[in-house]
Amino acid sequence: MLFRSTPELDAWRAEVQAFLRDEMRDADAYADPTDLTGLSESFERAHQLRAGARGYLAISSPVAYGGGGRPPSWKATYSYEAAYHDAPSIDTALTLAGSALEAFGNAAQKQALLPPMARGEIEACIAYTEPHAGSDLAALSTTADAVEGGFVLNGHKALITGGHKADWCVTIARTDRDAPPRQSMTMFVLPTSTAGLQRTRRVTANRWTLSEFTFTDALVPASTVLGEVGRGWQQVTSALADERSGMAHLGWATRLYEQLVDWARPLGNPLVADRLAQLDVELSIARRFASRVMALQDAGQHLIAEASMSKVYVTELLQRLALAGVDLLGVDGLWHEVLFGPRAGAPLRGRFAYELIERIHPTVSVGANEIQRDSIARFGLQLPVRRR
Amino acid sequence: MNPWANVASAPNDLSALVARALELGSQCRATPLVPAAAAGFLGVAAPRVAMALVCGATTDVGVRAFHDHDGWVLSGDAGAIPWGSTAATFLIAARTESPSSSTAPLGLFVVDASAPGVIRTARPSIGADLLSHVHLAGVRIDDSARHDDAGRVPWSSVVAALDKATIVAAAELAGLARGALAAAIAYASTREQFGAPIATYQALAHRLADMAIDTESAELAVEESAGAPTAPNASRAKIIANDAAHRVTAALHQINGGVGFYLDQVPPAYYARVLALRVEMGDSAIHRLRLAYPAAGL
Repeated sequence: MLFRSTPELDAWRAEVQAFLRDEMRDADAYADPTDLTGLSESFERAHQLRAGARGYLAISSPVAYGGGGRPPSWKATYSYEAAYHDAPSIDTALTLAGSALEAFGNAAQKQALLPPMARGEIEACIAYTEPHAGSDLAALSTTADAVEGGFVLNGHKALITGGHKADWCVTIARTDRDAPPRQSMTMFVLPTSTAGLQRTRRVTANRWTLSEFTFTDALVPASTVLGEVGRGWQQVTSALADERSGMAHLGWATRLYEQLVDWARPLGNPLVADRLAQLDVELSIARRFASRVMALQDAGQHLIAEASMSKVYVTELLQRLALAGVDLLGVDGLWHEVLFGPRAGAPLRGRFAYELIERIHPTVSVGANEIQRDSIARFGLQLPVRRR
Repeated sequence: MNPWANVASAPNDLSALVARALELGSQCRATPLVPAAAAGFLGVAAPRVAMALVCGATTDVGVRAFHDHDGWVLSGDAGAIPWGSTAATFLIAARTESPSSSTAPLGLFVVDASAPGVIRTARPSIGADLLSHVHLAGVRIDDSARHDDAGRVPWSSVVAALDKATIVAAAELAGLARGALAAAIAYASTREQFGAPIATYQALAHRLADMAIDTESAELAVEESAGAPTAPNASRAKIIANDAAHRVTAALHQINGGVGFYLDQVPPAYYARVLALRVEMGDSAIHRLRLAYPAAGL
């Protein structure tokens, strides 16, 4: 089952492309290499306000909360185009925290947060991972103890995308120290200005930062509970499944492939041509996997193995694409440039050296590819499972 | 730390250099051991040597040399040179009107980095190798500075010396694979998820086993080529070590998960060194060309 676009979606895609090209025209003037997007927070916020005003950020969200009410493929199309254009509207409040809020938020929370997120007024982050709870989220140790009027949070959260600029944070903690892990957790949505929440930034291999949050006796009102007390583990698991459409990855992969082909065309080198032709084939595979995910999502089907296959394939293809670019440039391929800012003149803007480091993390994050393969084996192939 | 300190006394002995490269690699210590070894094998007694050679199948020699009544004049782009930022001497391959052999129309020149007309520009590199772009704007050098000139050093000897340096590069890569494998085993044996060390999960155990196969394939290729440093052996060792070390260090990243992506952790340093060494002394594509077309005399 492959996705078929419609004339309406094609027209909208063209409009989005024109918008993003226009948005990114002068982006080099707003560089910030310490941010994942390569751009300053002020540029990102202004850009998201403009995208929000056009209805792009919430195109597939419910109309009742300021959304466009379109099928999921429209949101995926925007992610693809934003990635293709290197625009800082891939990790938005809605793409990060929207699905959890829409699924589990109460009326007051949805009304307070979803419309401003749709307008691009809010930055958000998700803070689930802990130093000892990565793939195994049930091992998390942050606690939220019930007190008069709310909960007191203590613990440490790691590897948070965009944590330094987030206004709101969705997190998860243990509300019952005695219950089994899967019945003891509760999700929260809280402002990052909460007293007792300390944020620090840590430098990654590609020189931008991820954040770590430390909660020290942070008192939050009961109104910050997201969903049901004690149902956090089940809620998080279903919210994470939503993150895997892979269309942003496909946007990056397509852009990298096109850049490489443009560079290689005048060379007339059969060794280069052979390698690029193989990547062309692999990109076509990634496109079909992502297309199938969109088709199934639009049909309202619950999917696990198909989304996992798409995520595994495209994230590993991105690593092969980056390596090809570095290989083909010889020693010059090592020349590393930041995404935005004044150019130093590296061939292909030093993009492939940057990418070779950058594409390490997608095979690890949002469900490491080993975990995805487990899902494909267990839910796709329905293989027998040995209880450990 | 001065990266040149470790190579100041590089012995002109392939076995000793291979042993040293394996050790420095496994400890992930970034040093210009490879160009120092090349200088030693070539008999170039100059300090802090970096090299501009043809390193990739899509790159070409950008420097031209012509001779006038006063000696040689070198002009053009020598390209990006590993360790170029703090080198005192450049070994530069240039196209010349009087080539050493009809199949390799090149000359090898020893150029003082402070000579007038040598323009170098530091390049930020992912490879932790003090990369620098070097441009030569009519650099004048004496006849004696053409290393392979007038039958003094036949081109075949130049190639033989560079083959030995290629084996040293392969050894450093094999050492990096060995160190990365050890780091991955240590992490996977102590990191617990789902109530057990992650090394107990078969998906990771098999991955570690594959990393061991890669590491040992590189070590054995280095051992054999060090004993018989022929051109095909050197090329095979470099290709095997390039691919093995890349796969092993990428797998180290994957096994270390998200925390391994922080710059202050072990995996980024190993990965960066491997990326730099993959192109030093030739990438895999150019070594495959050498294997396919030995008569080209590269």
